[in-house]
Amino acid sequence: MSRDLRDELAETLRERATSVPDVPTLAGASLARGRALRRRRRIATTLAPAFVAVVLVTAATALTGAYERAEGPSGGPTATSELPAPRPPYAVGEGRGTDARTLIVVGDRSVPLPEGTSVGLLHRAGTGVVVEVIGSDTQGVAFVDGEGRLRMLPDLGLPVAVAPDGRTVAALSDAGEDGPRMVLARLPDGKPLATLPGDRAPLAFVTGEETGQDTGPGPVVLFAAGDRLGTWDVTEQTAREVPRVRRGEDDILSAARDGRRVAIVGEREFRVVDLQGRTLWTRPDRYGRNWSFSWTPDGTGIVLSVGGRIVVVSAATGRTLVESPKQPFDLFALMWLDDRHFLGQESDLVTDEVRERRFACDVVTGTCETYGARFAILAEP
Amino acid sequence: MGKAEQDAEFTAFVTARGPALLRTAYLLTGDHQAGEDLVQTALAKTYAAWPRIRSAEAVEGYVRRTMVTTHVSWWRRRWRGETPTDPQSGALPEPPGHDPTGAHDERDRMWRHLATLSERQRAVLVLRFYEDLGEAEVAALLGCSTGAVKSHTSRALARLRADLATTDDRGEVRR
Repeated sequence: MSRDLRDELAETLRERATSVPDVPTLAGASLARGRALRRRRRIATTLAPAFVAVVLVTAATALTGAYERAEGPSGGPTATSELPAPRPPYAVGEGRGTDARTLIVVGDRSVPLPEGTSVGLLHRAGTGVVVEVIGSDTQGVAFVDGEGRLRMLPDLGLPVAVAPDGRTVAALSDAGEDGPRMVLARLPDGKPLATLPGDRAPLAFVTGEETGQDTGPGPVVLFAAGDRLGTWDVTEQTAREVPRVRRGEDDILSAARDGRRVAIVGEREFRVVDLQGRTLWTRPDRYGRNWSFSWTPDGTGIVLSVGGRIVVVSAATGRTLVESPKQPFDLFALMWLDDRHFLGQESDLVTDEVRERRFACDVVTGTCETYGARFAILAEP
Repeated sequence: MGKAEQDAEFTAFVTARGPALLRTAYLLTGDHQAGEDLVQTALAKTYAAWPRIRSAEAVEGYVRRTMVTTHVSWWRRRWRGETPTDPQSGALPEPPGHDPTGAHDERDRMWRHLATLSERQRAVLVLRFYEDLGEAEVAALLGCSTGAVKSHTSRALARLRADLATTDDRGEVRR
């Protein structure tokens, strides 16, 4: 080393320090509360498994109460009223009293889902919303229009993709004796318009221009089948393979809303490919396998939830843009409501219990909201 | 002073100094996530002590001292409450790009060798050469004599110098 070691050391430390993202307003107070809560929970799991069993039974209420106690007068400063309240266009709620069914909230209207079912994902469709409905042994697709009317779409299963114009959906169906098939159906009634035999999972609607192929004027659906990706040209009734893209059996896929790029989480890496089969970037899967992710509506970012952290990466480069401190819960089934907010179902990191309680983050202001309280996520570095 | 006023003061302090504290914590621990935990713990302790701390300078010193002592105590107890599942965890997501001058490569090697020092030696170097504190201030923070600070600094620098001389640019030991 030619320069003085002390100068080099100081320069090294300064350079490394600049890689640490800044913490936005109020983060410290929330960090302190989060840390204290996690430590209490560790102690609880180590010393009092019986107590945890009780918590399991009444988990939603218990955790909410614990968190609210941590937020209380002795838990630290609270100034959440200074933060802007998220106003998503639609949301998921919980019924009260004897009717505790899951609610789909569209504007001022609350629509209960069938008893014993919950929500997988929500997809905006015009002024309404397409709902992935999951029951104990069934799953299906529902549509809630802008007036708050809910219809179960007959014979459609999951996954489901919604056309950009909000007038049609593509879904996997295995109802009846025809075997598995992909169905293009219209909204709001779910009437089938076309079918493609085979076990294919729709991912998104795309255009022929994006696939680099000549296609008809009608819809083109991107799908996953086995270890391949393909496109279904509904007009021409043809299915074509996306070249060169292979995925592992357990890989998780998510397509950007415009269908131009697909994110694939594999055993050891996270990558994004386009419809010509080009790999746009890869990054090591530094979080292991237990995560979920979703594209932002504008296609510029991908939000991940893993190990109690919320991470937003650049869809263009794979670089981490935002990363939250650890929370006492993990999120999955992430879904975007608009350009600023997303929802996720939560899973307790200690008990592994999954709750339907919803969660909203605003990556623009760097705040997340749950349990009626908010905490900050780290700002862009 | 009312509680609301205390809370407002604490929040203002965290807002103003949080980023700097997080950077120091990262340098102390060498890990983003551990750095966050360290800041969280230090801030939690600081909040509890807030009514006793009056001046801004005293607050800053209290938090830094808490961070350093907490970090060293974690190391002493071999605290491993949250173990990353992947050896890459905590690393930056993108490897450094091509560096024609080689300066970055040298700093990268320096950073790797810093991680091999003892927690106290590392803390001394961070406080001396990043925080730019004097030996007396570092001694006060660590609760030791200035002579001990000098000794730690000297040994740590000698160790770094020796390590750097025996490794190549890929961080492998020269034979």
